[in-house]
Amino acid sequence: MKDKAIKVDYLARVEGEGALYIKVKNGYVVDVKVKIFEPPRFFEAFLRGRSFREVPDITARICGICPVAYQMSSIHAIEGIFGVKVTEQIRMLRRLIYCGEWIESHALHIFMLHLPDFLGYDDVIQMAKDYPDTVQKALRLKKIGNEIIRILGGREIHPINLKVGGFYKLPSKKELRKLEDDLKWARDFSIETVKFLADLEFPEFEQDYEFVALRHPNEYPLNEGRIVSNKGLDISVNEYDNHFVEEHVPHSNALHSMIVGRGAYFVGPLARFNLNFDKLSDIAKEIALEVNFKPVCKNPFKSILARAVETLYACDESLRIISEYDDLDKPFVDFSVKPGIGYGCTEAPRGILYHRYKVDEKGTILDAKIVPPTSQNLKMMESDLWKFVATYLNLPEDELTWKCEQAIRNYDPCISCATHFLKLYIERE
Amino acid sequence: MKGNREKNFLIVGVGNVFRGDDAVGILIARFLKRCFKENVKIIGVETSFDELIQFFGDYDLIIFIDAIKSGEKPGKIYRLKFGVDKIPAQLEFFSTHSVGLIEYIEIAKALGKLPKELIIYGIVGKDFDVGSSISSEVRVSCKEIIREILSEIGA
Repeated sequence: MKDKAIKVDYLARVEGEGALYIKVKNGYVVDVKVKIFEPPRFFEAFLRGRSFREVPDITARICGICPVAYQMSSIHAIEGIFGVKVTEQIRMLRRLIYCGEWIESHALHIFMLHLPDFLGYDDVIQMAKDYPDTVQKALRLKKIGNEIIRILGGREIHPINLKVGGFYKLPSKKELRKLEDDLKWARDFSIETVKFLADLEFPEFEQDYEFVALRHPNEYPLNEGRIVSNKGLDISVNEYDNHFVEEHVPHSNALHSMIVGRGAYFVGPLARFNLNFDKLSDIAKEIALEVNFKPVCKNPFKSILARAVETLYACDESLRIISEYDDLDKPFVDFSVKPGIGYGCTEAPRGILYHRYKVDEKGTILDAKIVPPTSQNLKMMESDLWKFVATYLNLPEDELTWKCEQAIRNYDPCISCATHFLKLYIERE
Repeated sequence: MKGNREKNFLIVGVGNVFRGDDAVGILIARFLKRCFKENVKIIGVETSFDELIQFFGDYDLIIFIDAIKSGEKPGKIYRLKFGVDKIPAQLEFFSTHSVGLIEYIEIAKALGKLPKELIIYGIVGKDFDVGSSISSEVRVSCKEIIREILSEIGA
């Protein structure tokens, strides 16, 4: 392989549309671009002038896979402005609905989008012919995640039951208990999945990443915590804008996030796993250790394993929350509206999702900022490809292209929410 | 309104109401849902096909309605019978999900869960930009598709 350019017009199996461009000259990688075409920040502009009450439901529409994450980050940001303190039970139910989202999102990515790469199939359709049972079980797992969202979120299509202060309406103990058998099955299947995935062949690849995730003193992070990294970052959510910047890059009109003074960073399941392993439930820790998957894992291809361990955790955590749940009198807490700026950061399936809102005395949105996890990982994806292509330059062309796409899928990029639009090109000369 | 009682049918509208002509499948489905309620499902950006495919096999007839990006005249209607008509290569069913309509149908097929008859109505769209509204050409085609679907289900 001497001079060549890899261009892929359409990057399959990432959420949305994407494009990747890599150029190799005289045996060296000279250019890597993950291309993003971002229309104006539609949602941020759309939110201005709206009531704070509408924000959770509007932002939920940004992403089809992680509506709960958008709702939770926006709700936490706005609650920060009004000084809302929810009850422990509301807090737990928020964790539960978030677990539902992790389960359905991780199940989609592990089985439908990423596993075909590892097993050598073009896509899940081909894989389904040889692994019908696995695909059926994956669909069942995903459905169980959706079912949690349906019961707590109020309806099947997309959750509308979450609001600033709590929930509009709460499920009964009996309704939640109905999930238990399915969740026990899901937990068993997740254990099976971790063991199955651990036997896959992972490309040898590591980088000295800066992993960034939330960290909470008592629990594996979902809704709350400080933003920490393995390189010394430890800040509260409202300090985010002082430590992270978004930069314009010429080849894309999307923004690339960086840590001030250090550059690219890595968010998502592998980052959470590496920074919060000690907060996983016993069974999740035990199974991870059994397959010799432990922190700090610096191979991004093993993100699929982190996703599976988190799925196992989410099933286990859901069962715990349901078993401790008692019917509540009031599904929300009262609060009064006041002007100010609020910050929210929660762990979306793909990594930290940051929201910032400024509201006036009536609670009208004056300004909104939303930084999805995929924008935060973009720079890291490019960095991986620089190094990955250089290491594997001798692979046959189509195999290298495939592996590059697989490397991007390590991050489960959700392009519809990162940029609301992306095309991916790989080009070889 | 009742459909043909002999036929156990499902109508599925696919799309994204925030992206111009991609809304067409959802708008038609919303209209038909008023008449046929449980026999109509809507697959928006916030949801996915995977729960549905478990039930594909329970139906005699499933009709999908989705927007198409092909560069052809906006509003042009395609009626494709899955397994009979070849899906023309230039047709791109517009999807913000990586696993799109055709892929899910293929997965259902691989799992042996296809309905007896599966028809896809595709409408060529003009504008898919975030925040734009449905084009007048596509709006005109909606009426024709609704008429065709009603005759399809024998209503």
